[in-house]
Amino acid sequence: MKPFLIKLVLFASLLLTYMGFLYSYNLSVSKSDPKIDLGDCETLIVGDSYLMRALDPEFFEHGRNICQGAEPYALTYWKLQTLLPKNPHVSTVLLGLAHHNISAYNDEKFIDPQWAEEMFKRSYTIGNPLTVETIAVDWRTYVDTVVRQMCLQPKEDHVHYMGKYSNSRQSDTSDLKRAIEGHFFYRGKNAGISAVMRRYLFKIIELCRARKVKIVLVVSPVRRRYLNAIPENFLKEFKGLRGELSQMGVPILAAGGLRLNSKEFLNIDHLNIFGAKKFSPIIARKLGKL
Amino acid sequence: MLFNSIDFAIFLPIVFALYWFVFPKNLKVQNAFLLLVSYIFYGWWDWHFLWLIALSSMVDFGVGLGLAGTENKRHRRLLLFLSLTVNLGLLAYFKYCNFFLDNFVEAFRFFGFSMSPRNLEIVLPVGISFYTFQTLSYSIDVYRQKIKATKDVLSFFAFVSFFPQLVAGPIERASALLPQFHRPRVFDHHKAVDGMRQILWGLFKKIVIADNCATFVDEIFPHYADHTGSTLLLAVFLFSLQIYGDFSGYSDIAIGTARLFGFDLMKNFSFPYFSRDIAEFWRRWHISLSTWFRDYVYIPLGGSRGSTTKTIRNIFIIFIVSGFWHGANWTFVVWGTLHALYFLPLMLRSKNRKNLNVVAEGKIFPRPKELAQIVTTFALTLIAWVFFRADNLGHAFSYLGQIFSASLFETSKTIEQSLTISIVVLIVIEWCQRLREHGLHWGHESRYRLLRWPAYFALIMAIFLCGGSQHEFVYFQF
Repeated sequence: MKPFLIKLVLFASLLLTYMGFLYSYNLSVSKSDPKIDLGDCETLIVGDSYLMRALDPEFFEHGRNICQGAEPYALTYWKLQTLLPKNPHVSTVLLGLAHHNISAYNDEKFIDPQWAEEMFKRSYTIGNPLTVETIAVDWRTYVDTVVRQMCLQPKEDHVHYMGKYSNSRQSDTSDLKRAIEGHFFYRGKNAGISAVMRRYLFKIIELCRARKVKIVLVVSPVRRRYLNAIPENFLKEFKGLRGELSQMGVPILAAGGLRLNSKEFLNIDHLNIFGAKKFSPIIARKLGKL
Repeated sequence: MLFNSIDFAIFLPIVFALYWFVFPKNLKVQNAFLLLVSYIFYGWWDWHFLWLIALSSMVDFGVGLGLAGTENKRHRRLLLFLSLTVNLGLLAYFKYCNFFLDNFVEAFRFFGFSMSPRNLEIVLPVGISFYTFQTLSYSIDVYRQKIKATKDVLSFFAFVSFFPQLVAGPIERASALLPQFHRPRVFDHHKAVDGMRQILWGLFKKIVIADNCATFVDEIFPHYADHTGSTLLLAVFLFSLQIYGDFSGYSDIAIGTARLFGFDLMKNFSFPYFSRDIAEFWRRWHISLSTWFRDYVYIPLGGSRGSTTKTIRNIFIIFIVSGFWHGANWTFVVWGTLHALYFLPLMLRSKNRKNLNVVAEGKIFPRPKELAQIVTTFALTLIAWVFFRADNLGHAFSYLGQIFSASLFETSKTIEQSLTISIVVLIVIEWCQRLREHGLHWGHESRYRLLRWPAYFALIMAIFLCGGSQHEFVYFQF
């Protein structure tokens, strides 16, 4: 037995040393990735697909949109935690605010097979979901992602969390059911409010304030039918949250009296290229007045 | 619990350590421990079906004791009948119930009677075809007085549920495996090291070859009409590697794991795609099942000893039953029938035992004739694999029709370079090792010692790098 165990330990040690070496190398590469440098960016747009579609950074002086679809607040927090210290030029952060951002379906993204792998691939260099209290995490997929990305080969590209403004001319607003069920229900039941995502929203605000970066929340337009279909508990919570944020002095910008027709929507809850061209200058103007 | 999961990577070292360091002295405790961990292993998938294994074990243990206690032929037959009824009854219910129901309805519809019964929602318990056959072999062998019935209930239950081979074989005979539970196991260094190598080779075949081939195959087969004949041919080729990598990979991991615990399981695959005829293929493919059918179906039916008509009948029976064992679908029946048709000419010309040795023994390359034989045999198996993979007979025939169309000569969809390299590595290693037990079997030789560890590292890296999303083993559904 002894020779077998010695052989096994020796083999495993060599393997682990090799993997550990690769991990260290990849970690140092990931920390000095040029993608992290946002250049002369002053206005940073973060959030999920809502602002990814709605805010064209061209309308903002030295603006940059790094939103990614389906991004929960926890991931946004990790992004900012990494990017803000390395980019002192950033003076304003525009963060998306919508009813679905506080839905507990966001918590499931770290355990749901449809999402987990993608979430871990985006976050493995900036935040560890296993450390987030009170959410269930598919740790097997997480470990698997970290090992594959960091421990098997020297890699140059580790920054998978930088999105960009992306839009299209298409328009089809017939997806109300998909959007409502996807945002506010999980496995057929009302997903409820996520205390975790709510907490991360406030952590983002704290982080920006601590770094003396102006944080502005942006509510992007959705179709009236979508608003009417949002379950009552989310409407109530969202209203309370807005009040709380206002009390804290966090500016919340919205379209106000802007009138948009259905052709300016990509689908029931996202603007398309035409809608973004109307919405972005309004937000830029309002931002200038703050 | 899947062999290719993190769960198993944690489970195995814990079980290994407890088995050798905590319970090494007391055989009974060691067997009880193996029984417990085997039930945990199975229950990890779904504990609701543990009662089935317990029931099957209990019935056959009781039947064994009953057979040992009586010489009365009628009583003995009744006891055997009980074992057959319970085990085949479980199989019939869980695996074939809906199939029979559907075909019953179809038959009535053919005669103008309309019926619309509801299909039963039956979940097929993993491994049921394997452990029922294993327990059946025990009862039949005791009935035939080939082995003595065991009175050690713990050993018997551990034999039926032994976790390395519980869900997908090899289907062990009681005469080979049960005595190993009765004698003290001694840790054998060479056996354990070779077991580790076999596990590694099995994981490579499953994760790198089978799972990556599956991605391509699963994309092409359902949408075959959108692809050229050459792409469809490539997909069948990859399916042949998928099914081989998947099942022989599982067997390698099972055998290697068993060796870590001091057990020897039977060889289940012996480089079948290097066979020179179909008879040789069946001596090398899923050996534990084909020998099971040979011993418990073919020979009792008379084998090849009777008239030519009887021989032909027996061949068709064994191949069709073997096909049906794989699944409740006519596609499997046709798969079995095709193999019977391939096998028949060899049998009738008494050439079925022509190629008993290993191809090109002592040579590096096969002779042109041997190569032609290997390619022909492989091509025949490819045609049969189409039926094995297809959803139904219509799908299979349309798929074959599309292959043998003018588009066969058009450009095919390409596969990833990493998969091509992996397949080449598989073929080269298996060819070089065809005289040995498995792809990484080196015996006690000290040759290539310096090359081995880098090769193992490379295989492990390939497993991590090329491993796609975790797939279940194909044979779990059988």
